[in-house]
Amino acid sequence: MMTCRRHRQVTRRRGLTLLEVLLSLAIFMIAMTAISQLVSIGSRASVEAQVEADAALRAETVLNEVIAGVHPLQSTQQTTFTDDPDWVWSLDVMEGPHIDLVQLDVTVGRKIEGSMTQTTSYHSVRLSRLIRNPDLFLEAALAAEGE
Amino acid sequence: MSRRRINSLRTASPRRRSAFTLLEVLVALALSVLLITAVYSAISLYVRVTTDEHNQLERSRVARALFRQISTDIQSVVFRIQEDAEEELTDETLAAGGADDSSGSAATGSESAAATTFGAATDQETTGAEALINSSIGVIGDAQKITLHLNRPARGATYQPVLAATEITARCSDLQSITYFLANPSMGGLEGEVGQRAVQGSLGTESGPQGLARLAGDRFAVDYADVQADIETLAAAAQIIAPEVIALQFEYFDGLTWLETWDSAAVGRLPNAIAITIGMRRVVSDAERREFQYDSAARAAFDEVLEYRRHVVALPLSTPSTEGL
Repeated sequence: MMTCRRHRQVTRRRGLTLLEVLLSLAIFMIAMTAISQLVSIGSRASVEAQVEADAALRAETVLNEVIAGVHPLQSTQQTTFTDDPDWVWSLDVMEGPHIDLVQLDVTVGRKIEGSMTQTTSYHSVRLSRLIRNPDLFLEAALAAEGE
Repeated sequence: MSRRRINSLRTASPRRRSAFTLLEVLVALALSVLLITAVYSAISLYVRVTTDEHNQLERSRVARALFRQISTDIQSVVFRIQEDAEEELTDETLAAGGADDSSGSAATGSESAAATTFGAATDQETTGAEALINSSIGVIGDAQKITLHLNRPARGATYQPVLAATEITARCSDLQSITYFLANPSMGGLEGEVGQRAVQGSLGTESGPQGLARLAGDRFAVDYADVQADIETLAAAAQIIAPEVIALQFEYFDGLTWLETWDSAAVGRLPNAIAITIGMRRVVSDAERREFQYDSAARAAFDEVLEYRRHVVALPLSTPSTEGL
């Protein structure tokens, strides 16, 4: 290149053609998109993992509350938590495999708002537990009082 | 080819040296500065987001571990309504005698020793067995502090630690007394004493809460120290299990409403559920801790509660409330 420039008059400077520029830009854009996707997937996965861990703890709290009698033993849908309105819980009360057993299914969910994609996904955790019918304990307590 | 080029370079008179123009250099510089700024801001954003999320995860982990431990303790609570003193007495002595079969003579000896100390402390003419019965209080607590009397079988429990009179955390039976409270040097009593011990090397303000403390010990030893008002011994046995926790609240469910205080001896039964609310500050790792000491702004912000978490534990041994029926 240098030799060319020295030996003859430089009329036309060598450079990149438009096609080359566009091609490199396109490759660059594709790479950037892929990287940003990677970042957003990573951050969403970490948020989801945390929400699921918190949901499990909240579901346990709801189960304990139902067992203790804080909430009545009947199926409910989409009740919001008092301390955080983003969280909702549902309860399914079913007959268990034995006449004295009651199956409780608690589903705790939370909305996740995607910051980049503007989408709202819904995350939930479901816990099931078999408990003895609380009426048995109540009858026993009443019988003990009556004695 | 290269040889020819070198030759031509040598022979050609270097009238004009090929180089970048000033404009080119400036443009290149501006572009690289832009690029470096962009990369720097991207990295700093990434680091901030990662640190925040990591810290949130740490808090979540600490909270789960705490709730797990408190749940295990609450669910092991035992309480007996005192109906018939004679009947209870025989039950209790049988249970105490059966706790250590291998050294029966040592067991009876230390039992009477514990009984005399307890009896002297309460200024009553009580026998050892009566003291044992009276000492079972189940759950007693208010909004900030909870004491649980629980029963947890231990491997190899012997009376040797009691005979040697070492410390109140040594276990000689399956009866334990566990207290949870917030260590706070500006408060009196046990909270203040544990708080003052914790102020050394504290990161936040020295008058504020220093963390969640747990005092676990043999029931009789703890009761004895409590009756003697031996706060030093109790504070030495207490441990700060979570310096991250700076707010703590307990609520007790009696079957109808949530109450602020509970005394099983007065109510005559255990609460149906206990709710624990903790307020957590930043979790600081050991590496951060060293830098933190010199950063006053970070230290001031450290005493701020970042999030509250609530957990409810049902007591399996509580009887259902019959008041509303």
